[in-house]
Amino acid sequence: MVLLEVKDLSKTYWSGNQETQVLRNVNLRIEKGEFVSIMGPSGSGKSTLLYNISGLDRITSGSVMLDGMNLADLSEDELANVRLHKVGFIFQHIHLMKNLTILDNIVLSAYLAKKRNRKQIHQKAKKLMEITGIAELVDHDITQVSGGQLQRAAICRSLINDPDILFGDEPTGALNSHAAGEIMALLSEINRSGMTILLVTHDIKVAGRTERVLFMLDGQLVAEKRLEKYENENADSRKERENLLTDWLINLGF
Amino acid sequence: MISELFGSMNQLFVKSAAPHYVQMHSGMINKAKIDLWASQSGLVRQNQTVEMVPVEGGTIYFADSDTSEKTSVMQFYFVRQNERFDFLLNLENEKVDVAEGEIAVPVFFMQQKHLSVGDKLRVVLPAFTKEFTISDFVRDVQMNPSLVHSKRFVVHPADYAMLKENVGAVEYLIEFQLKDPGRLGEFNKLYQSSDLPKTGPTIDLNLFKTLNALTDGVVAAVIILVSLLLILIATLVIRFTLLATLEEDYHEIGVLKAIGASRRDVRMLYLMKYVVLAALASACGYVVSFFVYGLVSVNVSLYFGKADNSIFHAIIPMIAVAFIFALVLLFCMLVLRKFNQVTAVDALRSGSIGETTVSRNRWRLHQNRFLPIPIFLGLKNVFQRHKMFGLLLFVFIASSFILIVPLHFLNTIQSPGFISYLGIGRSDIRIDLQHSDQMLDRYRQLIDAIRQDGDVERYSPLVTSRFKMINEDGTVDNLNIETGDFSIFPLKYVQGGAPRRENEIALSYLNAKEMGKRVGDSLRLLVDGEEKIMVVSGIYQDVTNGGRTAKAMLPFNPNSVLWYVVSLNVKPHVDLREKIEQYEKAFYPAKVTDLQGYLHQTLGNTIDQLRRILILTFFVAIFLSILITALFLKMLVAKDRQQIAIMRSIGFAPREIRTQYVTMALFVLTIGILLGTIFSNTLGQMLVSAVWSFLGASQIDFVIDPIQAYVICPLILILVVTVTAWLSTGKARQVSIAEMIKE
Repeated sequence: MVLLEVKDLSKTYWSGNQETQVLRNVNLRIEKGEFVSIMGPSGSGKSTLLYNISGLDRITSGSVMLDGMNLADLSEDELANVRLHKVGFIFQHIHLMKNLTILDNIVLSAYLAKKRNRKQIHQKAKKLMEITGIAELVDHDITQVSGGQLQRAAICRSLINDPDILFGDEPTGALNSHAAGEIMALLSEINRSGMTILLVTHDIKVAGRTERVLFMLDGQLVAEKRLEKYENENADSRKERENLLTDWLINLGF
Repeated sequence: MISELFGSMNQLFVKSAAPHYVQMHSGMINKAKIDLWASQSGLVRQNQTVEMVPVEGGTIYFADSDTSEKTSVMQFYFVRQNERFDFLLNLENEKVDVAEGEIAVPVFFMQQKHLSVGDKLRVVLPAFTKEFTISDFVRDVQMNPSLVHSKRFVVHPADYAMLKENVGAVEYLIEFQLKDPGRLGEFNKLYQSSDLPKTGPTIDLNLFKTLNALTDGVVAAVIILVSLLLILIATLVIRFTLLATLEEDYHEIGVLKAIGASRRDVRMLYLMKYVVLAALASACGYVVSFFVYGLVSVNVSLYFGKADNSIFHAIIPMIAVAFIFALVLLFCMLVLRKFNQVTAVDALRSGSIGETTVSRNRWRLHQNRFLPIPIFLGLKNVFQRHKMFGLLLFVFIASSFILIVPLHFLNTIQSPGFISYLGIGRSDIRIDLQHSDQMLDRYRQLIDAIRQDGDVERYSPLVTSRFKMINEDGTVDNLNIETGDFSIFPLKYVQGGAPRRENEIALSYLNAKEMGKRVGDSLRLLVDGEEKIMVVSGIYQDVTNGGRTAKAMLPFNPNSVLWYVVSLNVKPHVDLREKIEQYEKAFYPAKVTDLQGYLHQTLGNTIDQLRRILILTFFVAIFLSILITALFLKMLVAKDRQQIAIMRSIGFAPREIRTQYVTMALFVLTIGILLGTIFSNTLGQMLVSAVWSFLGASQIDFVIDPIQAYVICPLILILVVTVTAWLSTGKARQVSIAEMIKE
């Protein structure tokens, strides 16, 4: 079942009279439950694509259908509603609210959404914190914990409202390799539980865990590589998938 | 503007050649004797005895009015222009010159009656009716202020002669200009020890100045206060913007330092910006002051005229502007000293100088049960960044203060209770009987009639007489003492109470202050030629008669009486207006006024001034609230744009983000209004009392209109701040999530 369908998406920035076309006629379909990654060189438009199809930015032309709604047609408030209920987003850098504790950062959007009562929200937040291994950080300020722990909190926040799809912009980009490995293992597990995930990454180890890798160049999706569904945390099979991807990327000239 | 005020006032005193000492007198006079005494005194430069024809208000009709001025508390004197000094000036500050059939009317009436040149003034006497054409308006250095109940109208000598013949009575102003005005005290004692006329009121240069400055001095005081407040706010704003800019540029400063720029270089970089801005603003302020001055100084210009455009008057404002400019620079330099404590590494690493950072607090979102999320976040933000919100709080306190204090005072001065600051107990009707030949007979008839009038509930005759007081050094001073029963219409005393025994005396605040007397102290009085020791029983407030009055229960001596006042209350069913009309007819020419009317006419000009101040401070407060709220929130939104982007990315709608900022502004405003109200009711009251203590009222208790002060004013501020906050945070809507997150 198609969850996200992007047709002829273009994005242009203007600086004075100067026009820069960052995305050009991008077409993309994401099935429900899929785990997809987008790779490509710096400046190819990966992150811009992610922001435009997740409702964080406005497209210039084309359409982005998410769960039957064209994001291009929505008002500012409707778009905010999509971000609140339908979409989860994990950023490369830790973008948590500075003046809130870890738990408050996680529950904030759930309070706003009012899908559940407070008790249920707390239960859900605590469960997510247990799953991501940060249960003991409930009352910690964000300045008191490590980068890896903060990214786990960001994942909890992105999942608190049970979104239809989770977007990640280099979610492990700011972490050391150990923390990055843990986060990816966590995302794999979340995907196995049925969550649709679309990531942008430079890291072949990250892309190696996804089942479909898209390659972006100069604002266009130019190639696609399908892999087996990543089922278990087996070092050998992971290495094998990464090798496959490496070969593919070399062939693409990356 | 202040220099203009004092320049204008000084100008009036110079142009009119103000007398230094004036003795009012009615009855027989020997001019030659006065001239001889003056020439022999050694202190007098010149003297003159000015004739005035007192015309009853009941015979005067302004413009096309059908009603006479019989209810006016003012006394109308018709005079000729003086020849030697004490000139009556026109609106160009030139000597008024009127032709036959023309009249020059005091500016007080021009303002009150909205008169213009060409309007008529009719004097309807039993024997004849005379119609004058108003040809000019009079600035009168002695009788300008509304607190002075005598007003001089200038007519042609021929008309004057005719009026004098028909009215029959003449009063005199015995005027002196001294060689050295500094020796006024000495002259006063000398005059009082002479056998020249002394039964009327005495006025001197200092009193003219105080009375003239009363109404406009209040405007000046408010302008000074508001200006100081604005300077203070401006420095706080500079501090805030400078620190916020520094924080924004912190990394760049670190880079500059890392590549070898000295502290001085970096400081100069920022200082230069503010030098240019402050210089431009000072120049603009200087130019704008010329235009704004006209708006707030209507009264000053009307009553004093415009000061000469001397170099002096151009230089003083320039010095004031230069002072403000220097103050701003000094303040910038002080703020920029923070650089000294920062190393390049600190700057590069921390990106903060601690002033606008977020402090920790224990407010937990998940523990909040009642508040909507945007409101909770707004409140939490204020507490966590309380240092930064200090500026906004200060502005809101100041706005509430300058809004509420004039309002309270206006309400106080308009309340019936304000009569107590005029040294009068509260009653329904007041009858004034001024000095005249048949004054005693009239007084007796009046008392008899009132005693027999069944409509009168209670009454209190009060007689003001002049007594001699012996100072500690043996010299003698005059003291006007009101005698009677002060328990009938009691007065509120600042200290002690009303005199109850024959040897007790109550002093007005200014008298007590000047004599250095307190309750329980004694003073020596000459009563019927014998020395009598009086004990001060109480001190009360009185702004009439220059604030120098006294009350005692002394024996009645018709020869030393200055005036009579009868206060009375009518029975509940009696129509006050009808009663006043009845008494006016019966006791003509006594002045019969209801107390409210008396109060309004005495303080009418001050009330008008206060209204003007209220309008001025209202707009300053609103403008200040709008300006600083907008400036502050725009800056805050710019500063918080990353946090705003985060909120938007997780689903906050723009309206929910703006609600947070409006909550912040409104919460700070609420505290500001509360504190502003508390300060207004305490500090404001003290401030107003301090200003009015110069006039004789040292302990003013505000009469508060709770609807105006506690409902309407806060609501106006809340409305203005809400709209401003909502509009100023529009940028929150435009914050690009993608751009901010990518940064």
